[in-house]
Amino acid sequence: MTTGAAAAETLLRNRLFSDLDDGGYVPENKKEVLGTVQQVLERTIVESEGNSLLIIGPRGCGKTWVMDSVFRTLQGDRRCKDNYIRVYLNGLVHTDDRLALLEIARQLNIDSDNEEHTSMSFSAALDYLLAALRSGSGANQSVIFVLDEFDLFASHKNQSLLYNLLDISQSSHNPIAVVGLTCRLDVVELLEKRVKSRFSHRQLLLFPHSEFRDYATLAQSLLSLPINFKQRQFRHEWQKNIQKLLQNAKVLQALQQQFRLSADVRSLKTLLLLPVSRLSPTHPQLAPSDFSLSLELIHRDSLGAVMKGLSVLELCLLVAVRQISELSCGEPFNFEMVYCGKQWSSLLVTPRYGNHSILQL
Amino acid sequence: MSSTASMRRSQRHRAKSFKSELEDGVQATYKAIKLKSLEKDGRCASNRIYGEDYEDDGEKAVDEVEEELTETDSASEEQHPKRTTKKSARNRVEQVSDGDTGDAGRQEEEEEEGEDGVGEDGVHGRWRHYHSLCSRLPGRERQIQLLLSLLGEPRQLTCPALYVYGNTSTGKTLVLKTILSSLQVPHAFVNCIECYSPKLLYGTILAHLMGDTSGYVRCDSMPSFIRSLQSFADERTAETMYIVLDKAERLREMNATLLPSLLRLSELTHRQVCTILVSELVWEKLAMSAGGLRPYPLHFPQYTRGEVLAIMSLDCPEGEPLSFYRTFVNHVWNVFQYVCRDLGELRYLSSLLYPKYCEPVESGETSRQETRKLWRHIEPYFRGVMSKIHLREISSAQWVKAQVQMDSGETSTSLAQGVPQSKAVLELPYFSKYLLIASYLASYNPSKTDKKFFSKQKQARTRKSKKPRKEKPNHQLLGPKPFPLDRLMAIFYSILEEAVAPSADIYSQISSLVTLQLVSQLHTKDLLDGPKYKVYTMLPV
Repeated sequence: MTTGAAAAETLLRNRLFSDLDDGGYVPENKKEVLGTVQQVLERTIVESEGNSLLIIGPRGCGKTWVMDSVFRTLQGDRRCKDNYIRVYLNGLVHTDDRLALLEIARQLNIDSDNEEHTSMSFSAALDYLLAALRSGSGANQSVIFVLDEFDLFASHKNQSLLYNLLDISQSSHNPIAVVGLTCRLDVVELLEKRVKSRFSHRQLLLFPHSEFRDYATLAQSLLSLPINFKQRQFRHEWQKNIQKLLQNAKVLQALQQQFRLSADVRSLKTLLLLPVSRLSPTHPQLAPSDFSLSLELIHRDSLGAVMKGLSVLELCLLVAVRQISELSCGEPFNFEMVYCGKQWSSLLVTPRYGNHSILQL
Repeated sequence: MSSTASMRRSQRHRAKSFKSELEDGVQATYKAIKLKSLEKDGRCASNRIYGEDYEDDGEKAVDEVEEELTETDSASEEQHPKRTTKKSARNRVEQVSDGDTGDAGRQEEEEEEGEDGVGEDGVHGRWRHYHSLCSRLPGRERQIQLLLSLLGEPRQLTCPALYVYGNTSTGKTLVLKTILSSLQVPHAFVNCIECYSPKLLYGTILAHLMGDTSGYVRCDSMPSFIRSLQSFADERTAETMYIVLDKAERLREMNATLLPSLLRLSELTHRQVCTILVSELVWEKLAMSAGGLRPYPLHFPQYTRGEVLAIMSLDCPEGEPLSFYRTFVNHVWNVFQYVCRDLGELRYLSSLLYPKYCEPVESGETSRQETRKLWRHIEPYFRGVMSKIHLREISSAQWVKAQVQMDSGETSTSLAQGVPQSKAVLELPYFSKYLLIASYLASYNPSKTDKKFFSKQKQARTRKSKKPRKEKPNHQLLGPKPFPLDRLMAIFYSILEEAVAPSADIYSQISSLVTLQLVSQLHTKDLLDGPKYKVYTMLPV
């Protein structure tokens, strides 16, 4: 099928690289977290109470995905649909409280003059922003702050942003929710005492898959085409092929290897990138060799590969350096010691190739 | 001296175990080192090490699958969904978007434009560039194929970050530049040595994306950079923006949050951005500063012998027969491959040596077919070039001039002699010479031995210690150590025969030695005892 493969490739790439669609399979622990977050945010929006919570989990296990799913669900909920504004801050990008404040003002769609903000203190500025929001729209709009890389915000000066946000969430003038996403388990220790006391200590932990069965099911759901895919014949063949693949020994072995090294979703998606990208009209179905090739490419020994490209001279130097570093028991040494040492001179060989020694530089 | 013999034996044993360790990793090359006699025809030896058959097993499995891909005979037109649908599907933060635009909408778009035709040349999408790319970049077919499949069509999503690594001159930058310019997608090519601060980096990237390769757009911080990228994507293009950062290891020294945020640009901007990092280091060296996101690795292996010869024969100057140039290039490879496999260096050296190689042909002494005579003529030049140019002792212009002088017999300097005599000879006054010698002794002798060497009184003999002494590193090789001023004066007076009063004259000679940069003064914070010095000259080792 000529267009089938191309359409399948586009669809699967969207699955792998954007969080919009994930095949529909949600493992158990994620369901719980999803449910809790949704409840909390609904309470903030509908009942106008302030809340704060933290989602902690290692990299690639789906924290941002959880937030996106919750927001998608909130969109579908009639009660919540237009009653909130989302403000998204990232610790890597907004490295300073001032930058964060400007970003908050921008995302709340408030036209603000810079001079006003620099003259006011941080808390006054934040209060002004939230009051402006409230008075502007009339209705009681709640703001949901999503702070990605939460631990980096804790390294700002005085932690003033965190303090003010959590302070506002505790007092009931403006209903806001503060959701922090981080990968550090000890993030609460990083907070100052006054900030920690204002935090609600609600922490949700996200873990990657603990069983291979879940992992394989996730892989299958990522690779399956949805029911409303246009080319039915192609889809039928595709689904049969996927079923066969997931019983194939090579594919299972590749998945197992990747699972053992890191069981999170992001690495699974990296593994699946190459098989998906190789789809073409002449290669319309996935093949087991794609998976083993993909595994090999990702986990290639990079240092060994680079060393294979060195010249003989450079390798001799490496050998001599290794010997010297062993002999000197870890103490520092310099190039002179290597060059004048007997290890180096023992490696020089005069090839019988003309009357000169090529390696004697 | 049984201890030294046993020490030597243990060293030899340890050396042997290292050899066996390394042999696993670099079997072929190590055998070449230990071979006492190479074959007369260097070609065979190099074939065994770096020949066309040198592949690892993983690659063999790949080739079978890749053969299918290269025969892209019948393909259809690549479908380009409408721009607005894609855009709204991607904007997740800025506006309140409907959750159900998603897949169904997109697919309908794709199907509407569907057309089951075979194009004129049978290949469409990004693969139509494949053959022209391979012909322009010999030796890199596999990497081009991998890159083209990973990057995908410009309107498809692709991995957010890619890491391209390999030895020097393996064509990383060249391949990326060629691919991106032939795909005609918005891309930015930035060298991280040139843009050494984040602001410069943002400004140059934005200018390149807009098509202005020598301009600069003012951009102060990462949030404004992200906003500019978003506005650029919304106004200009629905295609993926590719940002290539050359010498990516320099990003570690800039801001601590710069590298992680560059790797996540796609997620932060909610647009299609692909960051490609190019470096000679392996990813493990950058991983600490990268904050958790691992880009997709892509290795560019070193060229094999056949590939090097193919690329170098493209350099053949016009008017010369190709086979003649090929034999010359073959000689260059056979001689220089053990020392340097860097393609750039080899091409530079061959461009220097080719005129010399052709000389006997031009002067009519030998004909083009007499390769043995030509080889014997060029051999000493090879040796000279290896020791002079490769080590950058003299520049190529100086070498060429020296050749001309040699030929015309003006000077008697032969090629084997060293550096041109441009160093001035320095005449120091009497005390300065002694001061310099004293500072050399102070720098290179540990202070414990001063009493033994320089004291004029008789020493009470100390009993030799029975403890075995560790092999001390050669102090000559470790470099000079700093010494305080009074130690210098003490050694100076002990080596000087006559008695001289310490006057301002002597001390001013020390400061003139510092000015001449023969001795350097240390500028550390705690100089409570007086100034400290270190000697800069060295006796030849």
